[in-house]
Amino acid sequence: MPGLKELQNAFKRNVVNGDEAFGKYINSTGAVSSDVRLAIYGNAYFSRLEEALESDYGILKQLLGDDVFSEVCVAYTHKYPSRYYSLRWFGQDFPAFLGYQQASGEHHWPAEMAQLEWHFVGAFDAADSMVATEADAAAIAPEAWAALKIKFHPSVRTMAIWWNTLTRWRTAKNTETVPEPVRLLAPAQCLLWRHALVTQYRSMEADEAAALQAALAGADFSELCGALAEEIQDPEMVPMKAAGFLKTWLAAGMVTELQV
Amino acid sequence: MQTETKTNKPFLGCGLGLRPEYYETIVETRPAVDWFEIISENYMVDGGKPLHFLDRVRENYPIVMHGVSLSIGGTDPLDQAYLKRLKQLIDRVEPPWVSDHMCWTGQGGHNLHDLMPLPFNQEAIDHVVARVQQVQDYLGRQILLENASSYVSYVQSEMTEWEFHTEIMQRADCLMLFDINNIYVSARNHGFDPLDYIKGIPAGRVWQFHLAGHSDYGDYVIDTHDHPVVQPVWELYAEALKYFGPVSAMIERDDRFPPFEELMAELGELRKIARSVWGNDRPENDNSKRQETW
Repeated sequence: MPGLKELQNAFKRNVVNGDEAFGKYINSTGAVSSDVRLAIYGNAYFSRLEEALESDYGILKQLLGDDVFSEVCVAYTHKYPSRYYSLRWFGQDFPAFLGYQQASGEHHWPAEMAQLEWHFVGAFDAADSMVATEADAAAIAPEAWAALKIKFHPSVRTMAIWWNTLTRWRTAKNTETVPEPVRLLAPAQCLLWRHALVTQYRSMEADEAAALQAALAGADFSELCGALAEEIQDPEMVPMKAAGFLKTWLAAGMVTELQV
Repeated sequence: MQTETKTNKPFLGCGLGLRPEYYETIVETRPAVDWFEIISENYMVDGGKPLHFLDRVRENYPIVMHGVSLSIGGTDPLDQAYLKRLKQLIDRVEPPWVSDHMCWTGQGGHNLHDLMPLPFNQEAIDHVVARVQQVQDYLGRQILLENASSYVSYVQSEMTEWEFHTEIMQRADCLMLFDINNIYVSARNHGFDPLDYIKGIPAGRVWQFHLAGHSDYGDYVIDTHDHPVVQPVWELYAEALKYFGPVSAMIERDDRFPPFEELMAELGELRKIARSVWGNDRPENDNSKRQETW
């Protein structure tokens, strides 16, 4: 007779791959065969994990259709068996599984939709933090601005968008007519964060994205202005633009601290 | 009935599972619920809505913690990262008690996210007892283990499920979350008398009841928590109250969520049956603070 470890290993193989060798350790009693009894566990396994992926990737499911989404989930579940104590993390490799390429953008639309939805998941339950206000900015001495560092809320995320993914996500969410997937002529930039418990998103122009990415990477205000100067033609406009972006970020609850 | 030295079993009254679908209703209307139970893993996150509502509900109600990933019967080493996170959550919630399931949930680092049954034999008892002691030492408190529903029985089993549970509780000095629906489901699936199960468990070790609905396929029953509690489970609850005395009880609902009023109606039934067994006086071990609901 196998010990506990071997028994659990054989049961797992039955659940995941339908390995029939395990059936001999199960009693068939009453009207129900051991095959039917074991199938309850196998079916529950795949449906529970698909349900977890559906809760993370609901719009992708809507756009792919139930059958295709289900097939993709089964394939993913085989390739990325859960190593996590919580289902919260099970879906984290889904964008990569679908071929998402952050740097090159050489992916098809489902991968990008998955990445967008995973960012929503991350923003939803990222750590809490107090937010800074415009009054905090107003209190900064003029000579301290150059070395100012902006600390962002842990929910803030940015991503490049190579397809009309934002429009498709929004229209699907609002049950409006969803346009066909189209690759953009140039990549757009998307910003996601959480404010007052509600997950937010919007697209950004290239200049704001450059400033934000510099600040997120740890640049101080003068370095941020340097990054911004590469995006706008009139150098005199740079400080005003930068201050305008900071004001927007503060109002949106994206900033937790202004370090001088 | 099994007898044992009397324990200091607390009694909280009648509760509900805390689920996101009802967050706003609970915080805004402060319904007459004596206590709530959370699924621990759902709050092992860094922030946002789950922790916000957890704290808001905790301001007004006792909250007990119920886990699904301890894998007390698993053969992988206990997950230290999980235990650490569990302890952090315990510190935040300060629950009257903490529970998980008598089961294994994965093997070889692969989590099946299901409550997999154990064979009822001496090897499994020795294994689980040692792990319960490890967990209780780490957490610095006793834990409750729930009887899971099962659809298979192993040829390796040497005893009944209630004998298995009892020996583990007595040797590891742990407690039990007695799921009445699961007893009903397993009794139907394996053909035993649920009253034998009730009579086989030492009353002092049972600190909590679960009641829930299930899906009935005729030849077998699946524990789905997506229907109202059925009449035979209510009847079994009344029997359990006679044997176990005052035990905190709650309704579990995890799918096909009805309007909150329907859950409150089931909670009313839970109280009505308890009163019919004990009378209207508050039980001696009642240490809940919500006088108005009992």
